Amino acid sequence: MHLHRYEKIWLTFGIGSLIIFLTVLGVSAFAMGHQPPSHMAKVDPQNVRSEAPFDEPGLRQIDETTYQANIIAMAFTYQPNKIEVPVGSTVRFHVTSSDVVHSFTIPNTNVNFMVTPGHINMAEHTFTEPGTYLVLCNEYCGTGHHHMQMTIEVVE
Amino acid sequence: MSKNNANLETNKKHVPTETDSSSLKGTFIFTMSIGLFIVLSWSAIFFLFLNRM
Repeated sequence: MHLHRYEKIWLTFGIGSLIIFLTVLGVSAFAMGHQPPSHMAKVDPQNVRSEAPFDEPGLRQIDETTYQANIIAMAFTYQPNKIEVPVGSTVRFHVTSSDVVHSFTIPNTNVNFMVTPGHINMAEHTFTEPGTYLVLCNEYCGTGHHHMQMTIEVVE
Repeated sequence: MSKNNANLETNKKHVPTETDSSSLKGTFIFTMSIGLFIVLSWSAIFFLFLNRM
């Protein structure tokens, strides 16, 4: 098969980019444990409050610097509405919705995911700077959507 | 060329393989420009993601 020299160059470039992108994706997924926010974990959306872990929404300490935050999103607030963690903590957010699709977004961080009813949506973030972090709903959920927020206090 | 033309009558499946090579220059520039754009935008988003970890 005859290939023009330019064709060889752009095919090499294209296949090379594909290999690089897939390698980065593979390493981040299998070696660093990155995963989509909604994966296999499910919850009965009709009985969110009667089953673990959302029967006791709030912050739970896992080890010295790791916390798990079980949060229920609903129109138009989050339960709990405020959590407080020490600086340097890693917080695993486990969020579900008791009604419609919401989102859980902490601006300027990688935490930005849809909260779908029936799923336990997860993300993890390490808070290295003290301050008040705003959490917003980024997914239009009704007339009070723009009021839907909560705060995370990161204290020294 | 006259040889090729003679073949056309008997071998209808004959496809000319030789094309004007200079015509690929524009395609090459455009392909590499799009490739560069994809790589740069992908890298920008990826480094933004890493910085926010």
